[in-house]
Amino acid sequence: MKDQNQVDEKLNSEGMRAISEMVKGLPDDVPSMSWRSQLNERILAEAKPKKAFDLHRWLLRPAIGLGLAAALALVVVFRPIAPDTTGSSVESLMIATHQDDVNYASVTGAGLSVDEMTEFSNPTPVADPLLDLDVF
Amino acid sequence: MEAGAEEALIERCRRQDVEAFGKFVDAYQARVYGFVKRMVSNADEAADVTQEVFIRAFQSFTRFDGRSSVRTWLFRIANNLCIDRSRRLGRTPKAIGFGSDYEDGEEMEVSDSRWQPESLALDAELIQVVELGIAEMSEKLRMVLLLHDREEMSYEEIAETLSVPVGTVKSRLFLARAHLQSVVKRYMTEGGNA
Repeated sequence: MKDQNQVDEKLNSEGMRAISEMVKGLPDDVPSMSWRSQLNERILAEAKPKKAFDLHRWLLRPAIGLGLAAALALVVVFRPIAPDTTGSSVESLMIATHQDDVNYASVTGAGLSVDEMTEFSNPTPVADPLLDLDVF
Repeated sequence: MEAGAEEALIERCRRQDVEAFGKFVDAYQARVYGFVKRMVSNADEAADVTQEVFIRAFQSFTRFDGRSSVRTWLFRIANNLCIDRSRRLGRTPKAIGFGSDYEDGEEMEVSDSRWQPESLALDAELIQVVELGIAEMSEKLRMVLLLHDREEMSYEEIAETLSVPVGTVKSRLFLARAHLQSVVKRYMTEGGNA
């Protein structure tokens, strides 16, 4: 504290104040006009990216969001629908019949129709087995 | 500039208003340039550094919170850029600094009859002597001297700008002025009045 007071006293002495006035009285330098115009250009260049950023922020980002939402809506609305096989329309019955045929074919093998398979499972008894030999 | 007008200008600068920032540059360019020129001792480099000061100020105005005055904030940027430049160039502090003969200040007291402050007039030659005396100082002393005696900042503002205690500011100011006293005295006894 005492040291600080001493420093304060010395700083306020006549000689120190004279030096202070001398420093204060030194002439001012002003930068040139070309310096200033160069600075203006740099400031404008600094300001431009900011505007581009705003444009991006306020226009492009919502546009991208809307685009994504629209794409999602299209996917939901126009998603591929599996054929309805449980209904009673003609198309549904045709599809069901076709699928049955395919299933039967995979079980019984090629060449036998549904009707043939039924007949084969219940053969008509032949009265005279030799009659059959006539066919040869 | 009036306080209200300056507040309004600062608010516009915060919003990155180029026109307002131009007015801000008008208000401070000479002072910042003068400070930087004396810190870097080269007019071309000073012009470059001063431009960088204002570009940094423009970039960071959005973060200026107003806790310190805009002048303190601006000179802190200038000061930091001068220090950065000095470090980049690897320049060491010059001979006049801490630990010099003026440390205790006793021998610089104004008892010398040749030292007559009231008769000092700033002619061109004396201005050059004083400028050279300022250029000889260490950066730390020079900063404090310029901020206090040129920019009329308070001890507290300088302490905040340089992030040092107020006591350190005062002792640096004392050393800086003491050095200039010795330079001017030498000039008067050996050169100017001879």
